[in-house]
Amino acid sequence: MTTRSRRYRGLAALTAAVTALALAACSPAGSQGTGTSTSGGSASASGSSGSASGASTSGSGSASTSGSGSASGSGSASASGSGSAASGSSTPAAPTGTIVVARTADIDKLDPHVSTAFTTVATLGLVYEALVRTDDSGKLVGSLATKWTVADDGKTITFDLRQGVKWQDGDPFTSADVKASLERILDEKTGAVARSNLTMITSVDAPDDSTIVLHLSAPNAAIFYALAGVNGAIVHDKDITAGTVGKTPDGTGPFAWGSWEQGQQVTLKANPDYWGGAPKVAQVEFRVIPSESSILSGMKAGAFQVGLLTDPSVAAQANGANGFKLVKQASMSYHTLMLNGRHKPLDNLKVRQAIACAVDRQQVIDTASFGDGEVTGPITSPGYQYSPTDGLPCKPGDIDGAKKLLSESGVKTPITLKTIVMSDNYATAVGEAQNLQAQLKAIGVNLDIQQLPTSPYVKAWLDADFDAAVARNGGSSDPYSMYGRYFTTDGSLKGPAGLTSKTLNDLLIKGNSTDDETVRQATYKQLQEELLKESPWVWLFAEYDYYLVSDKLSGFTARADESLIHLADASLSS
Amino acid sequence: MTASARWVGLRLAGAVLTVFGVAVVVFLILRVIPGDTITASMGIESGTLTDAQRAALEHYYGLDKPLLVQFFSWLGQVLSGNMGVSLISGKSAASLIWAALPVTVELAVLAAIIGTAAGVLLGMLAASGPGKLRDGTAQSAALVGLAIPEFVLGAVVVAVLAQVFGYFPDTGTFVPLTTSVSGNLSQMLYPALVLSVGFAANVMRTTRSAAVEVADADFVRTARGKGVGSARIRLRHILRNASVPIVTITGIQFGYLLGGTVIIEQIFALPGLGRLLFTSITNRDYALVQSSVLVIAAGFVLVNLIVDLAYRAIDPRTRAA
Repeated sequence: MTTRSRRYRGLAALTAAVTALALAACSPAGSQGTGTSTSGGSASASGSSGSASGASTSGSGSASTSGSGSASGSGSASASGSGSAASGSSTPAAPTGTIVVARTADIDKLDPHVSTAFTTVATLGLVYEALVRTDDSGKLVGSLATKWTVADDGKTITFDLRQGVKWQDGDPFTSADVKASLERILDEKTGAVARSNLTMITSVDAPDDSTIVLHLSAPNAAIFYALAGVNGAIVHDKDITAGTVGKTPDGTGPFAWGSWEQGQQVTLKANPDYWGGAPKVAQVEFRVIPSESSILSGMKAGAFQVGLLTDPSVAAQANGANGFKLVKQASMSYHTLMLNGRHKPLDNLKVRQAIACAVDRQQVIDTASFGDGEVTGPITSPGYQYSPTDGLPCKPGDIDGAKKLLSESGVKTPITLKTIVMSDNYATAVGEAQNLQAQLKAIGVNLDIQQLPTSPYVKAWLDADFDAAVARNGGSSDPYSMYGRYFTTDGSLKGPAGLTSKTLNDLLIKGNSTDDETVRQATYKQLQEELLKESPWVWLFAEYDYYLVSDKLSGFTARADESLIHLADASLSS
Repeated sequence: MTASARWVGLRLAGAVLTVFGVAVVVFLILRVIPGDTITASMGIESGTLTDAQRAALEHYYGLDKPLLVQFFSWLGQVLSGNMGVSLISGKSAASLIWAALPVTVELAVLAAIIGTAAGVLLGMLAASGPGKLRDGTAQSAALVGLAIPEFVLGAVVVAVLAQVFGYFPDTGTFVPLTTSVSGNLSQMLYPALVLSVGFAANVMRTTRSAAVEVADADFVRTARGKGVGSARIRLRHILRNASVPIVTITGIQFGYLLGGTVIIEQIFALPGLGRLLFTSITNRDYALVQSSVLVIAAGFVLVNLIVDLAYRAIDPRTRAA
């Protein structure tokens, strides 16, 4: 009897404990769900200063494209800059609320000059600023520089620096910071990513506190794009001397560094002194949620205000959900089948053209990417858009045309190509490879697919140890920045590019040596057609980035370069 | 007593050797797989590095030293307690591992408690009437529990919680049990429940078969003949004698959980050891991978040691051996 009753007591205690656990686990959930999304930001405040900052970008935009003699452009930029500051101060409502952004990967380092991971670049891009930046349409506009002048010989660039900008510790921003930062980037020991695009800088002068002069060995238009963005960030000279760059970010941007709990979250706080007007939220939290379907679930439960996705199959499940919307933003990253023109029989132009012609791009998008993506040619820069297939000897998917080219080439079929595919880095890779394999089989080209994890893939890719490579390459607002590294005779990635061509080299040099927009447009259009004609690679499609955006968040827009800078313009409603 | 001490001593020496062997193997495997910290962190951008830049980075990461030097300098750091320095974050591997370890250990302990309790209950229930409906039901449930992979169950649980209840487990900073029990459980309960399903299924099957076997033994019939109550028979006579295989399966599975929570930690965004290991492998963060594996291996060996000691406590016959 005693045993029996003891046993039942034990069971009852267990049941009670489990119930208590379940209740304890659920009760904070409700309060937490609403807790993260409460805020007092008012919609009207966001509207007015949002438009003010828009005016400021277009003002300095006109300054940049005209290059020299842009006094009026810089005037309008500074005027609208103070205007947005005024509108910020006229709405005294203190920024409140936290935007929780969920994404699959953590940042990997804190030094802006050596950052390559998208997450790191996007995060540090809210804290650090460069001399110039690109606006939403990919055009160069001023940032820490208000205007710049290129000398007639193209070898001297003078930047006027923005006045009244402060570092996080309250120190004023001066030309000494710019000089020290650029010299840090140029120092080989730093291992800076932007260095290879800035080696034409022979010296940096700071004649006074608000002026920076760059001396170049040769004219170069892409230098502005290399200076823009996080890899060209201006860091505090005091931090360089103290060796604290890469330990505690200290920038001039709209958000100040908060904290980083590795593998969990990054917290940024609004910078109330930001020259472009303080953000309308108190802080931004980046949470690391490794599984994309968990991000989607978190959005459905209202735990996040922004969710970043890349997998089309997960994004497809977000259609028609309540409480948030799915934003598809065409990215500059493009998917391509790279061919190694130094290997037989791909050294034969007609073989490459046959392969390029045989592939129906839309079919690749439909089968591997759930129909999400845009057929693209080589250049994905938003400012330089041309027909994606003009220059190919026949229409994509023209099997007969491709077969004819192949027979003209004199090469015996079937051809077998060792094809490398990155198996673990992006969701569509293997699907693309399999669809390409199926399509190319029709003309007697067999893809021998080798799936490799990222690191081995990168090694094989850099060593050009492949006949064909299914690749996803990053784009840029500047065509030279995209292809100079691959197709100029001294390009750093000419090995994996697989083809050297004097015509391609000359077109790239020509486009890059001028800032005359008409010449640049004509040259890069020619470059695109030449790339399609030579068919070193088969350009397939530009992918989408997916943003799940809560209905409570307004003012946030996505960008083609994956920058999250518009979090600075966003506000929350309750 | 001395025999016992020698037995423990031998087991400990074996354990240290095993862990050392793991350290050597992991170190070598990491160096053999293609790609290094530089290609892992820069991807194709590493192709744009000049030779001098690459040399500077290799020096920074310590990749320019001979393998033997790398191995013993890491081993020295392990023995001195900081376990090497993470190449990516610059923090000591020990500090990162000690931060992640409690998450995984708590997850494993919670899953083991829930899984063992449920598994033993269901197992005893099934064994009480072999061939009856409850036996068939419990066995089928266990089969289903074994067949559903954790990543499917985890994803389904997360999706159903969000879709139906509008609930998503807290993904903010990890809350230790000592800070807030409810805050901690709001992060840990669901992943622990998911992990406990497979755990319970294994325990249930082992418990059932051991209990069915013991139930046929002479001493059980004798006890019953003496008029001992059926509850007492099940607890004291059957379960006690069936507990050696149950402890074994619990120990093995617990050791497995220490290193096997990777997927669940991914789905529920928990900053545990599994995820630390996963990201450090991706980043080729050598010291961190080596030290994490070392800690997991040591945990596994320790659990096995405890299981062996538990045998001696449970079953006097094993003490003679």
